[in-house]
Formats: sequence, C-alpha cells, structure tokens
Amino acid sequence: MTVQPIAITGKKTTRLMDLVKTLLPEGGNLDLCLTCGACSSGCPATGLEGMDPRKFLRLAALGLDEELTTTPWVWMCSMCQRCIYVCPMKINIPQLVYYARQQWPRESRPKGILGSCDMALKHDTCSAMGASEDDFEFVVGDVLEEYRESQPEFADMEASLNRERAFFYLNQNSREPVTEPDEMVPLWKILHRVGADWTYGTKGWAAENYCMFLADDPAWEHIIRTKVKAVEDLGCRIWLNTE
Amino acid sequence: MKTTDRFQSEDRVLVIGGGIGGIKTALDLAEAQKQVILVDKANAIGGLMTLLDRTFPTNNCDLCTVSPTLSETSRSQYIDLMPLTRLIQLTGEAGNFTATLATAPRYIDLNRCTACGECHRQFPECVNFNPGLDHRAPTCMRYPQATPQAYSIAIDQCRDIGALSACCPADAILPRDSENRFDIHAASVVLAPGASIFDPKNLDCFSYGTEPDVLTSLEYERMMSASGPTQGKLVCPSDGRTPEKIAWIQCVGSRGMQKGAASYCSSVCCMFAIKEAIVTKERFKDSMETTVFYMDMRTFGKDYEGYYERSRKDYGVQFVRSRPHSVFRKPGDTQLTITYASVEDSTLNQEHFDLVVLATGFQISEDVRELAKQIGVDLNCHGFAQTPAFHSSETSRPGVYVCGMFESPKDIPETMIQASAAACRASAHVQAKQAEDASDTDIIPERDVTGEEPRIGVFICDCGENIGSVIDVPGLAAYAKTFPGVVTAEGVGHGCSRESMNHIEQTIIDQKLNRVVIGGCSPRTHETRFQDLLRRAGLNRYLLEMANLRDQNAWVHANQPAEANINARQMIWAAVSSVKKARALSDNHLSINTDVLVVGGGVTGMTAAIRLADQGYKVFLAERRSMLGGTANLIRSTLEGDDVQSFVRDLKARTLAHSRIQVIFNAFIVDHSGMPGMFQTGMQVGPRMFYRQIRHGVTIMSTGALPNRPTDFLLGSHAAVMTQLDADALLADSPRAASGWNNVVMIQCVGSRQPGNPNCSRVCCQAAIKNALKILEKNPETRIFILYRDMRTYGFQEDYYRMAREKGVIFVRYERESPPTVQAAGTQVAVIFPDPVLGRSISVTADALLLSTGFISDDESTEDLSAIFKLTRTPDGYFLEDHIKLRPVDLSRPGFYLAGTAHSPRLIRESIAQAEAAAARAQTLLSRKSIELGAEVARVDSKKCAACLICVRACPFGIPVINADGYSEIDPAKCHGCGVCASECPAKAIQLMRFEDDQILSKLLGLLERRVA
Repeated sequence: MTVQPIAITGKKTTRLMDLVKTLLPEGGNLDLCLTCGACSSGCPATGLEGMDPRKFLRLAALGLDEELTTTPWVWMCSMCQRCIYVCPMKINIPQLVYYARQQWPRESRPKGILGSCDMALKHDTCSAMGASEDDFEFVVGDVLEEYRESQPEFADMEASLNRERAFFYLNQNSREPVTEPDEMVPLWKILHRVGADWTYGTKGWAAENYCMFLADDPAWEHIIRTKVKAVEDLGCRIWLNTE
Repeated sequence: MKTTDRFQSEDRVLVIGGGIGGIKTALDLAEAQKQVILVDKANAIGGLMTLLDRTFPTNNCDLCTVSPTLSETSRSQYIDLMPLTRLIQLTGEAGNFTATLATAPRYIDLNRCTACGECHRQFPECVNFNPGLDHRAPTCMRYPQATPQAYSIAIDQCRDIGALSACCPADAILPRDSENRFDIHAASVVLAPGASIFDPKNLDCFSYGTEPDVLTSLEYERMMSASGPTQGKLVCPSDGRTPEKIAWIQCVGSRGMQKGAASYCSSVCCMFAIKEAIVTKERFKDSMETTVFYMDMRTFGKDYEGYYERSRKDYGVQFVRSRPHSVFRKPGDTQLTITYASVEDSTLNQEHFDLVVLATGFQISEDVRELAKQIGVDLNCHGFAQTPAFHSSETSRPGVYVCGMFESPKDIPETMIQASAAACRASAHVQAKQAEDASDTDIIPERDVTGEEPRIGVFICDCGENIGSVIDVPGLAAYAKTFPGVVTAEGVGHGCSRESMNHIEQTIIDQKLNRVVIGGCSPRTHETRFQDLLRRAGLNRYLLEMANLRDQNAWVHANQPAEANINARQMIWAAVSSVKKARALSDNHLSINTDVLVVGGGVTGMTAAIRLADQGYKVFLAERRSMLGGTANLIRSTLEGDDVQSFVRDLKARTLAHSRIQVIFNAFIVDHSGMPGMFQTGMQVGPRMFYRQIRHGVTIMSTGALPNRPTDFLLGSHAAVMTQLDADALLADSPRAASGWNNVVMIQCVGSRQPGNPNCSRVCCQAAIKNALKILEKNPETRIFILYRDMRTYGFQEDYYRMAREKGVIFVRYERESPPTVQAAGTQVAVIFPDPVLGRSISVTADALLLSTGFISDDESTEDLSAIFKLTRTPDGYFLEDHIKLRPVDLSRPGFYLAGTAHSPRLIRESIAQAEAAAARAQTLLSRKSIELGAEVARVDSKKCAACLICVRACPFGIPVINADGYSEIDPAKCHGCGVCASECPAKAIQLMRFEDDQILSKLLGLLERRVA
C-alpha cells in the first residue's frame, strides 16, 4: 500500500482506458462501474497479487496506467468471463485485461505462454508442444487401429486425415496426441455414432492458441490464418475448434 | 351493482386499477361527493399491498391498515366497483369520454354468493389463495377481508362443473356466465394499473427457479403473512426446516443492463428488504442472522434513514456493501453458498445461508403497455407513463391522469400522495353531486333502549393467528356467556370480514341485544366500522365497547399464553362492565366555512391555491416574505433540463391574477382558534404589522424547508467552495463559468445524514449529477469527482447517474466517520479523500468544490406554527402527518393538510403532486355542507357548578365561559372532547360524554375485580 496520495491536478490526460474504449463495441462500458463488487465476488483470481477485477478497473478509471500495465495479475486472469457475465453494467473487464497484457514488452511476458506461442509459430501444425505433421499422423493411426481391434463395436470407426471435402475439419489440442492419446477417442466415438463426416488435417491441426493468451496480435493472427488455410485447402465446410 | 342508466351521465371519473393507488383516488373523489367507477381486472380489489405481510416504517400488519379502506370502498355510495373488468377502448375527449369496458365472467352471482366457502372446501385440491407460492384453483379469494366478498371460478380448471354447481348452498354458481361488454361515459380517467414484479429467472447466477430456498421478496412476504400459504410459519421450502441465516440481495432486476434487468432504480426495495429483515429479527431474535447485500442503501424517504439506523443498531441486521456473484448449493450441502468480495481488501468471502431473498424490482407488464397504446397514452423509454416535467399525474392525453407505480416506481406513501393528486386533477372535470338522501326506509330506525335491562352480546375475533394463536377464543366466549347481562357470546373469526359483520348484525336483531362488546383489535382502526354495524342493526352507535385483545394482549404476551388467557377474561369482563353503563348519544353537526387558508407561497402553496380556487373555493395565501416562489426561485433547471424559472414565473402570474386567490404578503401568523370548518387565524400583515383575522374552513401548511448552508469544508470562506444551488445559478447565469475548471470535486451529504439533521435530503444526489452533466456540457475536459456515502438516484434518475459515469465522472464513496479533508491552495482547494476500492488516498487540486448541502427544516417557524396551530412535529423539525403510510398529507389535527418540503425534503415535481394531494384532501372536507363533531363533548351540570373558573383556565382551547346565569357553559360545537375540564372540576360538575365517571369506574372495577375462574 502506497502512503503517498494519488495526486490529481491540472488538465485531464488520456488514459489507457480511453484507448481501449475506442477498440471495443460500446466502449466496453468501461466507464460505467458502480464498484458493486459482483466481478470480484466471483473471480477465481481475486486476491492474487493483492488485486481483483474491481480494483483493476479502478486503476484504469483513475488513470493509474503505470500500475495497470505492470501488475502481473493480468497473467492470472484466465479470461473465463465470469465477471462480465454477472456485471450489472456488462463491463468488458476481460478485454481490458487483454490490452493491459499487450502493454508488456514481449520478452517480459510469462515464459510458459511465450514459449508455447513461439513453438506454435515454428510449425505449420500450430502445435504449441511442437508436435510435427508426422507425429500426429502416426499417433492418430496407431490409436485408431488399437480401438478398432479391442472394441469390435467400433471396428469401422474412422479418424481420417486430410480427407478432402469432409463436412467438418476438426482441430485437436496438442496435449492429447502428445501426452494422453486415449483422450482423443471419446469424441471420435461420438462423431462416429452420429455419423458425422469429419477429418483431421496434418496442417493447422493444433487447437490451442497461446499467442492469443500472450496478447500478441500479429502472432495470433498468423496462427489463425494458418489454420483457416488448412481448412480451406481441404475444402471442408465447417471448422470445428474444440478449445 | 347500481343500474346502468347512471353510467350515461358524464359527471364521473373512471379509475382503472383497484390497487392501493386506485382505491385512494376513488375514495378521495367519493369523499368529495364525485361519482367514480373503479374497475380492476382481478376478482377483488387491493392489488399488491394486500399481499404484503407488514409495511415499513411502522411494521404494521398491512391487511389491518388497508382493510378498513377497502371496505369503505365497497360501501361508499359514490363508487361503482367493477371487478374482473378491463378497459378496451376510450373515445371522446376530456369532459366527455366514452369508455368501452369488458367484464369477464365470474361464474358466480355476486348477489347470491355468501362467501361461505363450500365450493372451496369441496374442491380443495385446486384452490389458490396465494399467487406465486401455490397451485391454481377453481375458486379464488385472496384474503379473508376481500372486497367484494365473493369467490370466483376459473372454469377451465374445473373438470366436473355440474358437481361444482350442485355444491353451492346459495345456488350462486353460473356455469354459463359470459363476458359482458358495455359503454360508459366519464369526464376524466385515472390510470392506476400498477407494476408487475421482475422475474429473476433470467439472472441465472442467483439460481431462482432451480433452488427452492431462493425466493423473491414477495414470496417471502407471503410466507411471513398470517394469511399466506404457510399461515405465517417461516420454513425453507426445500425441506421444511426453520432457517437460521437469511440473506437479502438487492437490485435484482433493477439498476442493470443485462438479462432483462431494468436500468432504473425501483426505489422501494431497500426499504422493503430492511423491513423484512427487521420483522424477521423481531420474530426470531438472536436465533436468526440476517444479512443484506447491497450496492447503495437508498433510504431517502421521510425518516427512513432512522429506520435504517435502527435496523442495524437495535435489531442487529447486518449490511454488506457487495453484490454477490452467485448463489448455489454445493453437492451434499443443505445450505446455499454465497461468495462475495469485501471492500476492505482483495479477499473472497464465502458464507452459507438457509434462505436467500431476492429484492426484485418492478416493471410495467405487456398488457399495461398495450392498454396505454390502446387509449393513446405515451410511454417513456422504460414503458412507464410519460408525464410532463412538473406534473407527475398528467399523461399525454388530456383528461387522462395517472398515479402509482405506472408513473414511476414508488412506495405506498408516495402512491397515496399521487393518488390524491390524480383525484384533484380528475375532479376538475366533474361537478360534485349531492348525495342522494340515504332514504331512511332501508335503514332500521334507531331503537330507544333507555330503561331496558342490559342484553349484551360479546363477539370475539381470532384475527387469524393474531389472537387465535395465543387466546383460546371458544373458551373465552363460553366464559363470557356466564357474565350477568350477557345474552350471547361467541367467536366470530375475522370479525371485520363481511360474513362476520352480517352475522353480528343479524344476531343483534334476532336476540334483541341492546349492548355489544367486540373482543378484537384496536378501536383506533376499527371502532367506526363496528359503530356503523350497530347503527345498521338499529342500535345507537355508542352502545359499543371494544376490548383490544390483540394489540394489548395477544401481541405483547405471545410468549405467556397462560397469563394472556387470564388477562383476556379480565379484559372482556371490564368491557362488559363498562358497556352496561353506556348511553345513547347523538352527534353534533355544524355548517362550515369553505374558504381556504394556505400558509406559505412557494411552488407548493401556489399550486394548492390555484387548484382549489379553480374548483370555486376562495383562497387566502399567506406568505411571510414580500415575494412568492420560495426555494424554487433559486433553481434554474431540473435534472431533466426543464426551465424552472419560466415555470415559476408563470405560476406566480396565475396566482396573482386569480380572482379567487388573495395573496397576503409579509404575513406573520400570530393566533389561531376554532375547529375544522370554522377556523379563525390572526396574522400581522405588511410593513406596519397591521393585525388581520381570516376565517376559513381548512388550512394547508406549505411553509417549506430551508436550503441548508453549514460552514463545513470552507463554505463561505473560500471563493472556490459553493453549494449545488450556487453552482446551478452560476452555470446558468455565467456562460464562461466552468471553462477554466480542470478539476471539480463535489461532496455529498454535507449537513445531512448526521446528528442534528439525521435524515437524507433526498434531492442532493440528483442535483450533483445535474451540475456535473452541465459542467461537462460546457467543458468536456473537466475531471469531476463526486464523493458520496450512497448514491440515491432513485427511479429514473438512475439513467442520469449512468450518463454521468459514461461521461467520465468518477464516484468515490466515503464513510461518515472519515470525511474528506479540504484545504485552501491559493485560488484552488486541495481535497484529500480515501478511495475504498484501491485502499489509497487521492488528493485532487480542485478549481471548484461543490457541496451538496440539501435541506434543513425551518425549525424556528415550524416551532412557532406548531404552537399556534397545535400541530405535531418530527424531532428534526418537519411537520408530522397523521399516518406516515396511508395519510401522508393529512395532519393529525382535522382540517389541516401538509404539502411540500414542510413535510420532508423533495423535488419540485414531488412537491407539486403533494400540493395537489392536499387540495384533494381539503375538498373532501369542503364539499360537505356540515361537519360531524362526534358525541364526545363535555357537559356541565349547572346545579353543581360553583363558577370557580378552573375549567375556564384549564381548557387548552378556551371554550368554557361563565354565562349570564352564573355557571360554566361549554359549546358542544367547539368542545374538542379532550376531557381536561372534566378531570379538573373540583365539584365534579363536568362529565365527558361517553367517558362518564360511572362508566370509567365500572370499567376499572371490571378490570381490577378478581374474577378468575
């Protein structure tokens, strides 16, 4: 807690919040806060780093941009939207958190998220764990074969790769093929049972997008474009991202 | 129901909606001898209020305060009540409307139904008493005192109509009843359709509809009510256990922008939540914990701040300034969980509750909006009736008026005020009708009982659970039967219900009773009704005695039933002993003076004067200053941007030009005497203080309050510090005023909500917002900080509060214990205050500091006037009305009415409504040719009188005189019946009628004589 009062004097200056307002529909309602505390009452990150959503928004409203853009609390927000869901004024606090993240020098942002984004940028698979096209193709084929054999009722289940003009193009979080391959199967079974026409692709298959959490807009865009291209190249109608 | 040809005359008012507002409008009109048709779509009148358990701030039982009013409605000869009826169409214009009404089939012949309840008993599986908490029914009567007292049938719910018809002993069921459409004429219309309650299902985070222990406030009221689904037993609906911890969540469906919530404030929820918490604490004491979660505590009404204080200090209700995120039940838990953030630090708290009550706000239903569209009444953006700036009861269609919730969310006192105001406005289109002489043929002539041996009937009410849960009523009746002189004694359930009243009346006639004792509630609320009953049964109305078994026994001794039952026997014996000595008395009458004295020439006084003068009454308007206008002279514009000065100019011109208004400037009231209908008030007038006396029939007090101007925060000693009123004028008069202001701070509650002036000044929050918006209009770059304790922008003012935040005004809360500090800093001032959200101090170097100083009562003049007029005042120096809930403009002294800021701080628009309400109330007295004085007057026995002058000196009203024959004479027309002379007279020459010595002595004897069986 700072002892020195926050000094407000002279002409009004532009706050970060003013810039964020121009980027959001309805200005994100950022000025409307009633300080009722509904956001902080349900935020999983309330109390971490001595911060909570109401306090965070208050820093922005009072123009305390230095603290707003340096509190590590922004990286503890999971963007779950519980705050905006109940806010009487429907204030877009998650987006304010996002733009506060953006103020951080890229190299200062949390190592885990940064590393995952950078890894995804290296491959056309967009996998934050660095899984290659070959790795993915092998794991999917291997797991499929195992289940077809061990569970006869799924003997004709499909998990195709790069099948052109399939109705759905399905993404897959890297964690499953890399660490928990069996967890891919329940969704396959559902899709099989309902007779869905779907395919994986070897390019752009990874569902996760750490570049978004990193608040790195160009990298985020690159990842999205790579995935969209993969869907379009196969001529699929619907892109199913399970994230 | 009366014959329909009466409906072809235009001289009547059509009132739509039989809630408390519509009833009040109808009663005021009827009392002023104007014809009214009161229609309601429900099968009985009463609206929302009859569903409530108790009302704030008196915590009275609502049914008891409202039910005498309801029955007055049905018996009044000026009102045609049409339940189950809707307005379909309205053609014509003010003075000459034609309304098409449609009455839905009741399937019951009202003339035959005795409300015996047989249909209800035989088809119990589908009976509905309580909207919201139980199931549908073929017959539905909402509460025991319902008006009209008859059932109705939902024919589509009924499978065997033949069996239902056959079960009715009165043969009152009409299976082939059908809708009846007809036209009536009316000169004017009052809309009082009310509001409906927000459905909290949309706000899914609160689990309403999925968790049975989450209730709306109305459901909670029903559960607490003795006539509710659980007979007043408070239980958790999930498993029937008694709750030990209850939470209230405020602003559910109000002050929001999401999921169907209204953006305005519903104005009454803070008060009803506090009331519910207090009543709960009263009942359960320390075994119950009550917590209210709120955003701003909006206790802005008269003395509401004290109620809020008492709830915390005396009752231990806890208040948490935090809006919970969600309400949920963890798997395996019986209790509900609420998580909330504390303001003090960034921590998350979790607490468990047995019940969660959602303080749900009010909205205007689709069918009311449809009705408005149908009859061409404009609605505002929230679906409420659009009204002009200064006249809250006018709609966009001339001749159509509005009152109650349909104008804006409001509580019962404000509804009563607006209902009277609407009556005032609507009555201007109607001629008063002389009462059709109540032909004596249908009233039994009064029987002379002199010399008869006492034949006493004792009737004992159980008042639902109120008396019945403590007192053994059948046992008490059996005991009373053994008293000498008692012919019959019995329990009568709710004695004030129509069924019981009819039964008592018939018993009096059949058994030739000549005295009656009612063991029940307070004579204050119900004596007149039982007196009327006696009169209908052919007895003099004073042959009645009431024993207040409820207030003076069952309520106060609820925890000692054994002693309470002994006490009840003694009380009945006392009443029986006293009633034996009761004598027939006749009431005194006097013809009245219809001139009006209005004291105070502000907007309120001028409005009341014009309304009454327009109705043909002569008005004296006494103003102590040399100009009209009062505080409104200091205000340039309203929050909504309307020009106050041009309005006030026009009002002054109309007042001064009115042929029936005489304005008396520089008038100081010095003496007063007389009684309602014939007052004399003396005043010293003009620069030379000439004495002048006015004779008048009624008095309207509109003396206003003073703009407060404490010397806090450098006010008066630094040029940058000013009040909101100063700023309002500065911003209007100096075009460049705000151009150099980079930083402005406003401080709320300066001189209000603190010792010395404990109540909320009501107007300051909106005044601050108004000035903030005006500053930003002139200079959008100004930074504005508003330091507040609770933002109280009630009703639609909330929209402007949001607008101010939208434009960047920063609102910072402070506690009374740690107010901001202000220091001079050259031409600027430094304002230092803590921000509770950040937990840090903020220091603003402000170019202007605006203090919201609000109102303070005009203590000196209300003190003088209360002494001269013998009126009561609140501790903080405002005049005190007769009943804070139901009679907000009537002073306790008959013939005196109160309006404007002399009542309590209020806005111009609200003062005008109250002025019109006072005018309507005054007309109820002025329209009578004569006044009834009652029979309780002092009478002198000339043989005993020694002309000692003690009565002459003792009488507070100066009535007794020693006459030419040498003894004291007391004019029954002037006597107030206070009894002071009777108690002082050393020769016992004076008796107060109805309270004569032998009557009092036998009552005392009855009370003190040991007669315990």
